[in-house]
Amino acid sequence: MDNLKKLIAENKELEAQLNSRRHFLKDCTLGLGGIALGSLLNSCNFDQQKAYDYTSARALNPMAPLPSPLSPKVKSVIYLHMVGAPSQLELFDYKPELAKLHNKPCPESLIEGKEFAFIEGVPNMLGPQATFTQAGESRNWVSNHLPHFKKVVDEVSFLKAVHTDQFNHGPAQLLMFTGSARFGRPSLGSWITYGLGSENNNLPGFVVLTSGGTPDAGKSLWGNGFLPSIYQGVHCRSKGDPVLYLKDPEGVSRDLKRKVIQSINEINYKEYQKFKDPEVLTRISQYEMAYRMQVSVPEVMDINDEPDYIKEMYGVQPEKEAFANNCLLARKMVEKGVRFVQLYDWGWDSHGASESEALSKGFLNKCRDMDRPVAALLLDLKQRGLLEETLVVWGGEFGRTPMWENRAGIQNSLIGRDHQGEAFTMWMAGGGVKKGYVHGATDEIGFRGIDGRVSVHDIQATILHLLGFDHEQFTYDFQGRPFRLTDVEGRVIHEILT
Amino acid sequence: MESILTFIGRFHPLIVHLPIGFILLAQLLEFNRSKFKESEKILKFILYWVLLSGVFSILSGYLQYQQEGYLWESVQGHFYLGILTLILSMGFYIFLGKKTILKRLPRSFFSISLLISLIFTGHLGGNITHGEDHLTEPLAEVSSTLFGIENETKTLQLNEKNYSEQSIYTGIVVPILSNKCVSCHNPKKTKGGLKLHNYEALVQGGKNGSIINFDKPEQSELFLRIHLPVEEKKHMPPKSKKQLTKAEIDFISYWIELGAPQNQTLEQLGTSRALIDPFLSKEEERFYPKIALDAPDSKILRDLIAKDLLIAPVSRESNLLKISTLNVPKFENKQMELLNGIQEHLVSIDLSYSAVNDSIFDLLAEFPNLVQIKLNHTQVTGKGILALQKNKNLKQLYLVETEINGIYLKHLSNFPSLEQVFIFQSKRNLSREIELTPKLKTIIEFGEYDLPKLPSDEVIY
Repeated sequence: MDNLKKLIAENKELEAQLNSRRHFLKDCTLGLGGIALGSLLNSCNFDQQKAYDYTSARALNPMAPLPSPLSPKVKSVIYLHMVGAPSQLELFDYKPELAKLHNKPCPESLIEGKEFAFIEGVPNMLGPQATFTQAGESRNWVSNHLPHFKKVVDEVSFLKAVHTDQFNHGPAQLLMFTGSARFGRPSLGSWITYGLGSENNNLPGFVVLTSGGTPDAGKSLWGNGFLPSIYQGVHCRSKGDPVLYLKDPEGVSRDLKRKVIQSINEINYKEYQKFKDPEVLTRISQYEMAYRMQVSVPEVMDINDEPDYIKEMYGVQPEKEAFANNCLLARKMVEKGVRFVQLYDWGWDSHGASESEALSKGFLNKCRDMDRPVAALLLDLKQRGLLEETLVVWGGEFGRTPMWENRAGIQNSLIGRDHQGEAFTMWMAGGGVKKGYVHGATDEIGFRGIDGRVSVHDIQATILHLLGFDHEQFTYDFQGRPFRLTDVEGRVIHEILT
Repeated sequence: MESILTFIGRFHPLIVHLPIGFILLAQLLEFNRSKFKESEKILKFILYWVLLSGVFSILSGYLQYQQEGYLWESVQGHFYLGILTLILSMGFYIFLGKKTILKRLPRSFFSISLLISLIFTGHLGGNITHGEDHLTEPLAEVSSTLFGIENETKTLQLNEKNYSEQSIYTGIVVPILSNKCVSCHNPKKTKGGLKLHNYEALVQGGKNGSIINFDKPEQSELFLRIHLPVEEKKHMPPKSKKQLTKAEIDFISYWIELGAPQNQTLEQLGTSRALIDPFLSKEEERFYPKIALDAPDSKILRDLIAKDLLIAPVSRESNLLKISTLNVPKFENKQMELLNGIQEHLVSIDLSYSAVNDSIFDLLAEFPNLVQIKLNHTQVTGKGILALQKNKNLKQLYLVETEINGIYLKHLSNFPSLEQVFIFQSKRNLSREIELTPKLKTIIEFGEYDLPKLPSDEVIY
């Protein structure tokens, strides 16, 4: 009964929201033309309010920027996700003790009752497949696979004991980006654009760039879940047309296009008046956005006008779909006020079952292609003062085992590690984050976190915190209860904050 | 029966206001007797109702005292004064009658003493419900500064530096208890016979014995009660009161599991940082100054938004504003007059990608509270930049990808609060053009970073 009441209350609230929207549409704009031309709600006079009600801008433009509830430290986020889960033991988590156990059988006490994606029976241990040095003034450990990253190690805060409860790619990615291992929740970027809107009128607020392939969990990773669909991420291709079908077809002038969109919007608006479905408004503003994006997206997605040495610094590969290109694009977008840029780089699933998956081969190519662009991105953001107000997050959906994978009980012919959710490394850099800092530690073989363990929800809480949200207050009512990104968990990782 | 008595008792706060009102009405009439013809009759009528409602007030009050766990010491004053008020009203009533011995007393005796007794009764009653210092609380700060009295503080005072030496009990447990529990469990109001105002009382427990079980901590009454679902009757704090947060429940549970130590410090106990963290006060480094300003004129804001300017407070509750011309690439110097009226509110201005030129510096000098100025991707050369030394709060200056001329940069050393200047130019090496003083070296970020080629860049595995 209670649930029913809640649902009715939610519905009433929704209706009230629609009503205020209706009021704005009817009374505060120039009518249809007003809609088509974007938010003109300010022709409406409301003099009784003392302070300006910033939320009213949302009535017409669901992407209107809103101030953060609390003092934000950053205004943009660049999230670098290494799809497939890179091995922390070959990159940042230096475990000399593990070398001594190399190729010796794993003690059974370690794996008793544990579930793995592929390991069966008793695997052998696998020593670090990299040499490590202490880099920068912080003397933090970095593997020789990342020579360029050593130059920026003093900019980042490592989280060495992140844990997740998912050990398969899809669910783990969903958990990382939507707060739940099941489908249906809004993604991190959607929550953020829902909460803060987008500053640049001509660019999407939430852009997704992929390289190497699509992540296992697919487009749900940048889906809007139960939020209005305007808040979903816009997936831009870094090769060919950035956004498909954005170019005008041959023989169609921009003027004609404008007229077409205006007419479509008018029809849509009639539809909206009839059914009051806010998704129609979303559709109208998406048409407008697409129209404006026709000019601005090709411009911002064009990396050719960058000076050569900048392109060389990133290691850009012209006309190809490359992580390096995406890193440069990420900087360009943040510079132009894009709120959330999500990069997915596919190919880090180093099981050792094939050459591209081997720590001794494919993994090294991935490291080479990731190292320079990431270092370049941090330096480039820094020299433009953008790192002061941008948060850069690097990580995978989980980590990898200190054991040599033995698929079906037989040690893989190539060197590789299985999935591990218990402990892995991520890092953050940028505004409000400590520089050259390490939080958390794993045991001698990197199997479990023994200090400063942080969960996926803690990471999300921290990202929201830096953007000026209290993750416990930032909710959206759906199906009779308020939902939040961090569900019922999450703690801001204050240890790494300045 | 019990519950009916409790029910009636709870009407006391309502019923008492009847005799109070009647007595005040009687007083008004008493002092304006000459204005009415039959004032004596009306007065008697009112006093009759005072007596009737007074009796009910006292009865319901007594029931409330019996049913709700108030201490006799704390209610006795209110009780006796209440009865006194009733007796005085009765006396006044009789006085107004024909011939009584009471006529020997002056008439003003009744009216004045009744008023005084009413005021004191009411005050003591208020103290019982709202707490002893309820009335004077708002003045406490004033009086303590006036008289130099230091209040005993029971609020959280932990920070990054001092937390390890604090005792677990006084440092964290006491503030939680005084905030959420002590208002009902104190020497004045002792629900369930339990007092939580100090350690001894806490250990002693309530009418059902100790609330801390030192042998089986997780069976302690306190532990169980805070963990019960909110809907349960025995859940504490009661559903209607302010609830413990998850962090508070976790911490109290941890403390009970340790055996409720009193004097050990957090360091001695080796309490994990994650448990303590929610209770630490974090000194926030302020980027924007703390200035008290009225809300900006909403008409100006609406006009700016209508012109596609991005204007917003620095956070939702703030009156400090930041503005950006990101969506108005044609923004020119002369449009700066749109900002008249909010000069003081603006703490950050982003004119990147706009069409402003060097005379913008003089215009920007009129904004006294600017902390951040961004002129990236504009035509400015830096001529006239010295005007910005008037901006006493200016901390960050962005001049990335401009026409900036190195010779003007020496002026930056005159800026009082300047902390960072971003001046990267991708098409030239500005740092080679100028000599810098040591001070400027620390604040100017030229960038010009490079990642030299390494042999490993070319290896294909």
